[in-house]
Formats: sequence, C-alpha cells, structure tokens
Amino acid sequence: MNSGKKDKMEKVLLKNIDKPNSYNIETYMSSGGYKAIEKALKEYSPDQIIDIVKKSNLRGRGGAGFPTGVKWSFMPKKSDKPKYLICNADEGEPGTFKDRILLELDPHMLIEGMIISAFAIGARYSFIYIRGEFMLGGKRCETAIQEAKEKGFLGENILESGFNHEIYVHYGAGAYICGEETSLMNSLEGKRGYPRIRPPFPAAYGVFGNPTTVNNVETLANVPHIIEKGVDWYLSIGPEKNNGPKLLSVSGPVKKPGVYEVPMGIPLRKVIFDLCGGMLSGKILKAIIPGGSSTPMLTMDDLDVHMDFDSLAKAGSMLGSGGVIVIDDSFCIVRAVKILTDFYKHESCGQCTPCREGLGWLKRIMDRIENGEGREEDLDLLLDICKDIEGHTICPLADAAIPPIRSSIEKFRDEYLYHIREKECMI
Amino acid sequence: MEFEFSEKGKAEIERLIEIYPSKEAVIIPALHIGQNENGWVSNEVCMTISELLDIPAAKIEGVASFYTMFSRKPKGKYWLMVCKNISCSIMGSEHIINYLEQLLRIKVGETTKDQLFTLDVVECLGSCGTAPVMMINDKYYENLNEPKIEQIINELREKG
Amino acid sequence: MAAELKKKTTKKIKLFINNREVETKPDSTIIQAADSLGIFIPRMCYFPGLTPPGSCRICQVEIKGMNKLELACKTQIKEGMEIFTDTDKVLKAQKSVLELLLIDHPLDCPICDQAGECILHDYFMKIGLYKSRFIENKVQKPKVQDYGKYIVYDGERCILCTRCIRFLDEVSKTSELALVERGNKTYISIFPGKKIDNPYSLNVTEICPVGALTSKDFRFKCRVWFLQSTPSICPGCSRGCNIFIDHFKNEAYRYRARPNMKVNKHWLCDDGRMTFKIIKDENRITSPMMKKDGKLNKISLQKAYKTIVDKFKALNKKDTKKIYGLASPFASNEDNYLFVKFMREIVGTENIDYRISDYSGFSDDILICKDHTPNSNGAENMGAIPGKEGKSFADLISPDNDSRIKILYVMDHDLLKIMGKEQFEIFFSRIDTLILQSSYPNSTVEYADIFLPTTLWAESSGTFTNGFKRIQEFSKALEPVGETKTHWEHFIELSKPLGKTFKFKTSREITREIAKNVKGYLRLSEGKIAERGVLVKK
Repeated sequence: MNSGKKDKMEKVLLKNIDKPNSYNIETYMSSGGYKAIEKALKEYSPDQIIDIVKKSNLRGRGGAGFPTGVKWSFMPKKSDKPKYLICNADEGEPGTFKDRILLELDPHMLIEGMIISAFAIGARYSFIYIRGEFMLGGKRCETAIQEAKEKGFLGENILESGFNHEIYVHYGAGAYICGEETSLMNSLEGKRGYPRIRPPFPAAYGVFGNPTTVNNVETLANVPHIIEKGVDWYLSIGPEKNNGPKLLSVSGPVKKPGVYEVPMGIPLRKVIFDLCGGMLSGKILKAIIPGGSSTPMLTMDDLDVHMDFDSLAKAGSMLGSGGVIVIDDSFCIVRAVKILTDFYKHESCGQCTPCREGLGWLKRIMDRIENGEGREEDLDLLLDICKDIEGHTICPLADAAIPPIRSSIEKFRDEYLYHIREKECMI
Repeated sequence: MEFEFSEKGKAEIERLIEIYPSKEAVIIPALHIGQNENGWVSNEVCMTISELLDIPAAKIEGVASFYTMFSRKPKGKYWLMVCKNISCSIMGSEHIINYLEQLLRIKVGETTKDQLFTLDVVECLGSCGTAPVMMINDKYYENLNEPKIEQIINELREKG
Repeated sequence: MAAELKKKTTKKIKLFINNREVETKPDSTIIQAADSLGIFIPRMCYFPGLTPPGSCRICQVEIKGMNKLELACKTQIKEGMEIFTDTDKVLKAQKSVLELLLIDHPLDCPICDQAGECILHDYFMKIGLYKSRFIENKVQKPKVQDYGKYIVYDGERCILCTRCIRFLDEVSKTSELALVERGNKTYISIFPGKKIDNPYSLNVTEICPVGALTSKDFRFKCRVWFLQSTPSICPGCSRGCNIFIDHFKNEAYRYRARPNMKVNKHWLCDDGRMTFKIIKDENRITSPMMKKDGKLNKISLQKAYKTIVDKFKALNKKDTKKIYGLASPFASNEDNYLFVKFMREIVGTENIDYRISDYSGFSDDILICKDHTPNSNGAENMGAIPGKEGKSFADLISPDNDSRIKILYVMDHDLLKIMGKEQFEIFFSRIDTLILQSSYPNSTVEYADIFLPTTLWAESSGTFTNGFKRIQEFSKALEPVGETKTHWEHFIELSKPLGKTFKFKTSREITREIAKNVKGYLRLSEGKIAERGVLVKK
C-alpha cells in the first residue's frame, strides 16, 4: 500500500523530547499525558484493550516484529500466580539507540503505556529491565515512577478502577544476550543470562515461574496513543499489516545521525538523503544495514526499499529494531563484518555448543582474513559453519550472527577476495 | 581483608530483599552496590554477598564473571569504556582508542600507575548516533574527538 | 485387585522409532524411551537422575510433523509419535556438534585418563569420522586445577556439559562448582578457597564424560582398556551400593557405580569408593598364626585346623555352654550361615551373636547409612543371635559376669580396638582359647591363640542383605592372597574332622541351602539372583 499517505506525520512518540524537562510529569501531563490511562481503565475491559491492540497491528519494536496483541492473548486469563509485565529496555543491538531517548527524555510515555498494557494482561507487577549502562535513563524512570505513584497512576485501586499495579526498575550489568526475553528473565532472577528452552513459554512459566509478557520500550510507548487516538488512526499510518509510527536510529557518516520518528513504510532513500541530510561530504554510500546489526546488508541498489517489516523481508533483509547503519566506501566491509562477528562471539552466553563454539570459530576465521592470512576456501567454510549452527541453538543469537557474514559474502565478495589474494585491505 | 557494605548499601539490599520474590534476584543489584563501594568485585565482595543472600559463593562468582560491567580485577578510579562496535568504528573509534593509549600511556586493559584511569574497549553502548562514544563510570561522553578527550581527561585528573 | 493395579501402572503407549513400532511406558522423554529400548541417541549433557539442560544439542532427533529437529532429552513421548534418530539431517546435526566440540579440544589423549572411556572418542568413531577443517589457534583455559581432596579439573578438556554442577546442586546439594566467564571463555570453577569436599565428590569424576574432572586417586594409574569389571557390592555401610570393581592383574584400581534405582541410583560415596584400599592394606595378615610361648608364629593351615579341632575335642558336653561364637556383620550370608551351622550343629552351643560393637557412624539422607557394616541384617537372618538357651555378647561382657569362657571363636571383630586395652585384658583373662578368623586387619591377633587368615568380599562371591532387607549378590573379582580362605571354607575344613562334613563346594551351593532353610530367602533359589537384588520376603 502507499506509504506516502502520512509523510509529514505529526510526532507522537517523540512529541515531548525537545521540551525542557520533558521527563517531568508536569510536562508530560500538560501536553495531554495520562489521558489514555483514564480512558483505558474507565471505558474498556482488559480483553477489549487486547482486542484494540490486536486490530491496530502493532508489532513488536524490539526486533522480532511479533504482533503485540497476539502476544498479550497468550497470557492466562485467570492465574493463581501473579502475572508480570516486563519492559525490555536492554537496548543492545548495535546501531539501535531509540529506546534510550524515550527512557531518558519521556519515561512517562513508557510508564503510561506499561500501566495500560499491564491492565490489559492482568499483570500485578512490572519490571523495567534496563541495561546497566543506561544509568541516567534508569534514574529518570525511577523518578517518573515515583511521580506517577504520587498522582495515583500506580499503587492500589488506580483511578478507582480496582486495578493494582507496581513498577520496579531493575538494572542489567552488561550483556547483550539479556535482551532475549528468557535470558532477561533469568538475569532478573539473579542468574547468568542464559536463555531458556521453550516450551514452557513465558506466558505459562516466566519470571520467578509466573506468567509473564515481555515487551520492548517503543512497543509499550505506542499503546497510550492507540488507546487515545484509536485504531483507525493507527491503521492510517503505514502500509497494510505494517502500521504506526516507527523510531529509526540512524548512525554512520550521514550529516544528521539520530533518532527519527517516521511513518512505517518510509523509503530508505528518504531516510538517508532527506531526513539525515545525506552523506557527510566526501563520503560515498556503499552499504546499509537497515534494522540493527543482525539484519542482512543492503546496497545502493536497495535504496528504494520501504522501511516496514514486510517490504524489507521481501528485499531479503529485516526491519528488526530499526537501527539503520550507514557504511561508506572508505570503510572495509571485511573489517565491518569482523567487528560484528567479534561482537556476537563476545556476547554469546556460552550455554549451547553450536553458538559457543561456532561463533568462536567464525571469529577466528574473520580475524585471519582481516589480517591477510585468509584462504579462498575460508569463504565456503564460513558459509558452511553458518549453515551448521543456524536453527540448532537455544536462542536466536547465533542466528543473528549469520546475516552480516552471509549477506556480505554475497554482496561484497570482491572485498573478501582482495583480502585473501592481496593479503591486505582493498581500502 | 573482609568486605562490609556501608550502612546505606546494607539498607538498600534489605529493601530489595523485601521487594523481590527470591533472594537470588538481589545478586545483581548487590553486585552493583558492592562494586560501587569497593571499586571492583573482589572475592571478598562475593563472599559477603554470598553470606547476606545465603547463596553458595561459587554461584555469586558465576554471575559476577558473566556480566561485562562487573570487574573481577581492581579498577582505576575512572573506568574508561570506549565503544568499538560498528558505528563507532566507522566514525573513528580506533583513533580515539589509540589517542587514549598515548594520552594515558597505557594499553587497552591496563590501569595507570596512579590508579586513576583504566582503559577498556566495550561493545555497543546504545548511542550510535553520537559516535564515537565512551562511558566513564556511569556517564556517557559522546561525539568524541581528540580535543574533547583531552579536556575530559584533564578535568578528571584535576578532580583526582 | 492387585493384578488390576499392576496393569494400571505398566500401561504402555505405542510410538514409532525409525519406522519400527515400539511400546514403552508413558511419562518419559524420547531419550529415556530410546534408552529403555536399546536405541542409540548420543548425549552429553543428559545424565539420568539429573535435570537435563538441553545445551549440548547432540541429542537432536527428527519428529514427523516438526520442521526443526527436537531435543530427545527435553521432548515428552506421545502416543503415535514418529521419531527418527538416523536420518541424514539428524546425522549431520550430530556430526556438526561433535566437530564444534572438538575444535578447541586439546590433544591431551596420550596423557588423559579418560582415553578408552571418552565420549568424544567413542562418538567420533561412531558418528564422526570426518577430516578436520580447523586450522586456528585453540582457546586456552586453566588446566590441572586442584578442586578438592580427590578432584583435578582441566578447563580445556571440559565440554561444559554441566553434569558435575548439576550433580553438586541436585544430589549432594553442596554447590561447590559454577560456570564462570562467558561464551567460549566459559569454564567451571570452585570459589577460591572453597574446594569440593563433600562425601560424594568422586561422582563428578565418574559422570564427567571427558577428562575434565579426574580422580586424584586414579590419575595415571592404569589405562582403562586393561581393566576388567566385576559386579560387586560396597561393604562400607548397610546401604549396599552396587558397584563394579575395576581391576587389572589382580589389583583393584577403582569402583564405578552400578546403577540400581532401588539402592544407590547412579551414585556412590567417596568413603565407599575407597574401601578397595583395604585389600592391599599392609596390616592384613595372610598366613595362619599360632601363639607359642607368648609369641605369634606362622604355621601351616593344616596345623592351624588341627589345633582348633583338638581344642574343641578336648572339651566335654557340659563345656559347650562355655563356648561363644561371635559372627560378623562384615561377612557374607554364606559365611555367617555356615558359622551358625558349625556352632549349633557341630559344636553344640547356642551362644552366638553378631552384635559386638556399635559400628555406626556418619549418615545422611543421600546414601550413607548409620550402620557402617554391609551385612547386619544378613547375619541376623542367618541366625547369628543367641538361641533360647544361649547368651548374648552383651550378657557375656556385662560387668557382673566373670564366668570362664572355654573357647571364644571370633569372626572379624577387633575386640582389642573395640573394648580398649584395659577392658579387653580383663575380658581376655576369662578366656581359655581365643580363635580369631579375620579378613580385615585386626590388632587382637596379638592375643589370639590361633589366627586363621580370611578373604575379603572382593576375593569371593556371596550375598549381603542390606539395611533395607535387600539381598544382593557380589562376585569374586580378585584371587585370594597368601593363604587366605573364605570364612565358610574354613568352617568346611573344620567340619570334616569334627564329625559332620559340610558338603559345599561353592558359595552358590550355600546360597541355595539358605534359600531352602532361612525364612524369607526363598527367592535365592532362582536360577540367577536378580541383578537388582531381591527383598527378604516377609
């Protein structure tokens, strides 16, 4: 469908961040904040809210793109054990920095979204699991929670609805794997961040053994707007089945890197050359990683692709977390992939054999190629190892390490061959 | 020499034990507090947490050694963590790292003789739009270049 | 109704493994079902009795209707399930896991104790057989780490199956080990200063599938392919844990647990594992001895038997009330049965008792029983307690008893050690003739008039009845040393000249007689005594 419908979309997610003291509850409320929570708790039942979110086609903004309403409907309606909502604020996907903006500059939008979502799934408690490095964001959330509590939006019998809820901030300690929801739960429980085998799924057996739903920061921040402005408004943004505003994090040698709120489906070309002002002078675009480092690389030929889940999937890549990494032709692709392979290998939790050993092997081969000690058969070896580990692991971290290698060998084979044959970098 | 939490730290840990459904869940917050108070996560910090939370010491060490933010070696007063991931690398983090090595006269992984600075490289800090980026203790320093770095280091040196 | 109940509990479900219809009990995982049916599925992190983590990924199998391979250790079987363990997809996945585990594995085989029973070797020969394509430098980790009284750890050999950690968490509940570091730098560690020192530590070296955890006691002592394994029972306490004695050239080197879900599951305790040391103890006396002029001299067995027989013949009928026999809770049912028969039918006394000392010690709720003898129940069942007219040992040594003892015939008990020198010497002053027949080192031999050297359990066959009334068989692993004979062989030799020859040639023959004559032991008459032992029937 046409994404040109709402090119000049009015800011929703980032509407407050430029205001002074945007993180204070006064600022939030003076621009209409905490109206949605009133509407949600007073006019709808929890099931109705799940239905609304389902109809809106809100899909997870953390990277997997799973329909949020459907995820909520997995939670048991009745439960002896308290239900939990967890906000996944462990933003660690290279190239992604959109959640940080919300956490630091508009924590109340997140909190309002969390309270409504918790109401929908019947959660008694929530955690914001925030990566340990985001100390400022964490502190702002803690303050915001306190402010919300004082105004009666948290605690017992919120807005006379009978709904009780508490939110706690929990800090991580530096592990990308803890962004994976079951690893996050283990980490919250005080353990090493090892992902869990499913079944059982978090909605049945989650954190501390209780039914749990894990949602990304941006996903939750969408919820108050869907309630306030309605499903029809949400569906009017973006192509079919790919709706709503999207935060894109753009980094690399562009004139204006940063977080941009765009309608789903905006063309990539527009993002780089319009919103970001194009490349820095002297830099020529060579490759783009569109959705965070775990997504297959795109080239100049793909610039007209639309930034939504389905279009990018069709183009052989993914929207993922919406972290757009721009690579110019003064930066060696082999080096880029070595850096990323290092990253995945360093972040592998080590629990299962294919990831732990496979990524270690991939890293050492990439090191060798980068150092001029590569062999021609190494390219097939890399691809073979990728095939051996893909789909055989407990969690998708190993799967995420594969796209950089696979897509770069496919699209930039000449750079690899140069390294191997000439024993040095093409650049 | 044993490690003891400050009154404030102990009170915070008690408070957390009340909130979380299990004592085990207080391990990571307790390690954060322990590192803040002790400078690094030593064996003694692990032992004290093990006793406070009634969890075998080996498990505490297992948790502490898993997470990048916990250091099992003594650190300088200022722990410099420079991002070496993709966006920061494209924007010149290698130069930043080299410059810091020269400025501080240590290699990555080492601590200055006066115990003031430790230099480490880390993975993505979630601030790619303002690359190159580094974190010192719990603060982010973004859009780095050599003059900025020099200024930061000098300010910290003056603070001592 | 009993038949109905039996039917209920053994209701099986039908499924297909490799296109073959099989029946097995429900409530199990694919790997448990395959094991019970003898179908091979490779595994590393899975170990029966411990929670499976599903982390090694080598037990992947194909299930009809599922896209991805599933883990056999984590998937419950269902009626009608179609499972495939040997398709190309499965074999490739297994090979890949094996390859990945081997890339950083050190080439320690020539000096690694695990060679010969190493899961990586075995699996490579079975499902690997590929040419290596790894040319990188291997990851280095801590080696030869002292983790406890009996334990050495090698981080490079470790495949992180975590069996050891789970054992210490779930069975011994002591949690000395944990995973440390992350990714492929991960290894397993103790907390500095807190070594593994629980009573079950050696189980981790046994369940370790590679040479990462090795026993200090067994390291470098013998290549496992030389070892012969004989099924036996540990004599350490009345649990009667089932063991294999591994031996070579008539020397025992170690035990391995013989799984018995009704007795010791898959485990043994460290003290139990070390009981084989007694076999070569230098204080064992392996020649017959006789006291002459206050000194002990070696004599021939013939002479020893003759001397004992003469002592008995020298007594008259009314003296039989002054003959006492101390049976042994350390000796087998066969030994005790024949002793009781000897004392009652040949000697004619009812003064028999096996309850000589409190052989109790440390116990817990895992394996170790309070009674540190292997056969108290058996001795009792064999009748080693005073008859109606007989006196117990407690009576015998009661403070107001100063009656003379014509002959005291002792099996195994070290009375000097039990009573202490002062008390024993008072007791000893009442004894005319002390006959001592011991397998274990025995300090009382200094006072014995005659000493007959006896074999230990590992050097003979027989049965023990454990503290839970389970009769279990042990087989002869080693040849007797010196001139030692089994207790029962001694009694047969003595029976001949004393008028009533016991006609038993093997311990099995005695077992059959026990089955006929001892209440509750009927099942021992069956062809082969059940591998898992049989309960004394009430």
